[in-house]
Amino acid sequence: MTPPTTPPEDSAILEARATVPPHVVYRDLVSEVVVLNLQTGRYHGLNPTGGRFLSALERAETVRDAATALAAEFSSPLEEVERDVVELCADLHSRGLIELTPA
Amino acid sequence: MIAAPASRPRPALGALAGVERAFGLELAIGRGTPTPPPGRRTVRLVELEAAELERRWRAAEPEVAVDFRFPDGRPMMRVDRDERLGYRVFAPRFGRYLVAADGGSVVCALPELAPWRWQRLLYAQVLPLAAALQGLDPLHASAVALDGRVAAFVAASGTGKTSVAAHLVALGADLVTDDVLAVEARERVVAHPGPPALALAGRELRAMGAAGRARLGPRVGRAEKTHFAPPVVGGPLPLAGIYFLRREPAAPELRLDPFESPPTRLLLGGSFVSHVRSPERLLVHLETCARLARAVPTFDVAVPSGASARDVAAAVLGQLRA
Repeated sequence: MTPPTTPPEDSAILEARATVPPHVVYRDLVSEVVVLNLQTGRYHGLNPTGGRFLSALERAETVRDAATALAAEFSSPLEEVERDVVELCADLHSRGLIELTPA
Repeated sequence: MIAAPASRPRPALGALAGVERAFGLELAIGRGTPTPPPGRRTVRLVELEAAELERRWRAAEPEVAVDFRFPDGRPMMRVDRDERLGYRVFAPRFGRYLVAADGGSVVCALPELAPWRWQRLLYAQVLPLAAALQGLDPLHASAVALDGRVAAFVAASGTGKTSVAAHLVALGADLVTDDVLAVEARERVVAHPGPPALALAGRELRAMGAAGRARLGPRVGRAEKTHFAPPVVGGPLPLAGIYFLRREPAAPELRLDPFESPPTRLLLGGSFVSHVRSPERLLVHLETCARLARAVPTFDVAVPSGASARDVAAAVLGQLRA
């Protein structure tokens, strides 16, 4: 039997829907995208690419769909973009900046 | 709004006659003056005895927002917040104020001092707080206007932002504000004038000629600095540049360079009234910074040991007129 190529956690993230909760806002400040948790008052910075990833996540039905769209936008290999998007989601989720729910 | 009961006439607030607006707020002094037309942000200032002010505050369940003290522990300034009643601002010898939670009114208990003295707390803390509560974004900056456009100077206290602004006024610019700049993101980002007040160290005055000193307006008092009541611009003007001043003692020369990309942390960190942490306030500041980053040029100004505020002002003037 061939083992799965993607760790279970990453698979779950890819199939999830990522949403930005109401108490989190983000704005483009040109050199970086600043994400603000209105409840804690803490600022978080994303580079411009990370900011585009976040926008794509908000628009897409699933994280996988967002990765597919970004791979096309950046003309990059899908597998590579999926890894990057999953890593970003895990990081944002750990900071309470996005919610991941079954799609 | 905090309603004021009938009380004996007190003349102290009358000293604000002629100060019609500050930090984007129209000032309505006393209970009898007409309220400015709708559509304008207004703050009504009413005077009360200190005991009555404290009686009103007794119902508060406050949390401490600011507690500044002198090195020996004596209180310097304290701001307490109550969700319903608003903010109580107190500094010994400078008076105490109740700022309504929506920033629309301020109850003032003023000390028996010359107006220029008690106005320091009103201008430096109370009115900026009211402006922030009404949705404006006060920045810790001085600013001047030249040819209808505003240049703002952001720096840590003591770096010289007031001195630079004062020298620019002496060289022909118009004062917008001394220490707090209320910014608003409209179609363009605009800067609102502050109150007609400026305090300058003696050595800076001596570095100006008589004609330059005359442009600072009448002298109203002297403490550790000389206090002036300068004319300020009449209304909001487009913000055309932000200059971030920093001391770099070992630098071989004064440098004024545009930032290659907007200095995000300097913009976010330039907020005044940082003790107001409501979601509404935080969002206004973030959105203002986003507009500033996209629309307003920013400059890094490295000031070496041998450079004076006048030198910095001359460099900025040259850059503005280039």
